[in-house]
Amino acid sequence: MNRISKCLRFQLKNMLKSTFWFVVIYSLVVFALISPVLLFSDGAAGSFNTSLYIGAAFFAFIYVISDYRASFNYLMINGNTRRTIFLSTTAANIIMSIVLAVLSFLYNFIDEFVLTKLSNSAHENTSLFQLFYPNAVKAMELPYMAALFILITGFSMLYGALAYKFGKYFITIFWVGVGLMFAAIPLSSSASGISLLTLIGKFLWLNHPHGMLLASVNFLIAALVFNAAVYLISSRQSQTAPVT
Amino acid sequence: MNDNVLLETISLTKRYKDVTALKDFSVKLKSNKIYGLLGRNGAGKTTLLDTVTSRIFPDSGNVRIFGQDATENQQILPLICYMPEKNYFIPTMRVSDILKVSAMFYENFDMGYADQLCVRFGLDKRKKYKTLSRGYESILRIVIGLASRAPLTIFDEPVLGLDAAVRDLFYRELLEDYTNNPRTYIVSTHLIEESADVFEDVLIIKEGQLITQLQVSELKEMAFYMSGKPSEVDAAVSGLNVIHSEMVGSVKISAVFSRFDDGMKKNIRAHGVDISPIPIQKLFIYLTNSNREGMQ
Repeated sequence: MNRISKCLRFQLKNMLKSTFWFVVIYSLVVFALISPVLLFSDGAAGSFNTSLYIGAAFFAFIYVISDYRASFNYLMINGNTRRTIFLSTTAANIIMSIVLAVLSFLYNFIDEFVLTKLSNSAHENTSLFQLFYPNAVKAMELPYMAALFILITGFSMLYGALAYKFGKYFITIFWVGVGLMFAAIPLSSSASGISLLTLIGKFLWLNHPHGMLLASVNFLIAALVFNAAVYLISSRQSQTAPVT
Repeated sequence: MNDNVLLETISLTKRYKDVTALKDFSVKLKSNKIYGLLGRNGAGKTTLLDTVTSRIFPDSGNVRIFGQDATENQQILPLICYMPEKNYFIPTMRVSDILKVSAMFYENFDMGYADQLCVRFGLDKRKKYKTLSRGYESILRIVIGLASRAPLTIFDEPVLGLDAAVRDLFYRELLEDYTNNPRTYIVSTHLIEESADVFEDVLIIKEGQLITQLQVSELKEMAFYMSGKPSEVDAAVSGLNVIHSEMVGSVKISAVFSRFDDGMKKNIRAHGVDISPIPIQKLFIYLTNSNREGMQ
């Protein structure tokens, strides 16, 4: 087994274990909250969606950031180069993204099962995808989510690399920037009428017949850019003290 | 290049803002030896070890290990087991899992030996790393370093937090394993007096520069106190490398670090000057205090 495979094996074990517990806890919480409502409702019509992909997106974002420093340091003391660590981390993130996408996709069927068995009413299961991509084919949701998670983990890895390099200065600037960005959204219309939300809509190819496919391509390109930035930052990164 | 040279640094320099941690540092280390790396706090020991093992990058200079450029070299790094003073283990991992991961990454790792060491040192493998005391954190690093059987094994302050009995056990285990499975060790430590008998060669580093690289036996043969009347001591040490002088009442004591033979010693004693060996810890203090050059 080469070094990248060994690093990947180590990272995947921890990653999949954390993913397992995330899904279990998320499911318990969501179904515990939703089930009583369904069981004791008067059968009002409505859709039911655990939206695992939203929770999974947050999980992926937080996990990759929190794992970056520990994995980078620990794999380095076990005789691995920065290049090896970067490649295995990227591979692990991609695998985790696919796993989360598959689980999120499968949860659609679990949602339907729960609703039909517990609820007295007929239901329509509407997803966010159908809201933003009216012509969306259900089968396209899986690659779309996979690409989206790959983008999220790529961005998180970049955050982790920058936080490792610059520490609290980067973290502070980043979150202040995020806050300012949200504040600026309503004020971002320029003379041409293009707002931040419009730009995001264009990036996501909203309301386009092939929007999900084109957006997936955008996600992968953006992820590639983030990962390239991570490589440039980490390839000359000195090992610093761990956060205690 | 000499085939027996395992590690060579060529003019390594590393600066941190206003501080030059390593200045044009060049050294050659041979295979299958135990080296002691000695230096004051801030002398550059850890910077040297971090540079040699690619944890940090030098501003200039090269590191060659096993005849290859060692910087970010995936062929070379697995042959080096470096247990730093800082803790880089994942806090939630159990000792047993940490050992398994080490076994995965170090090809020669001897898990049976690691288990034996855990028993001898009293390290509970079921414990999570974050629950270990400082002493047991050091013991874990010792177990991994010894069991790795890596051709180049480096310890940075391995006995931190250990009591005298455990430190003695570490030195005995190191010597025993070195005898049965020769490899190159570099041990950086502050506890010079008790560890000097373990080392074959010592490197003394001061302000980022190598001031002495000698066998321990040579070091002891070169370091003497000369004591007596000031005029007689001054005459005796004339031309020699005096690294320390003090007056105790009317007696002058000078510490000398020079090569001289039995004939010279006899002559010095004949003039009423007493000669006695300098304890290695004192020698280290004088060498790292002194403005004079060390010797190699």
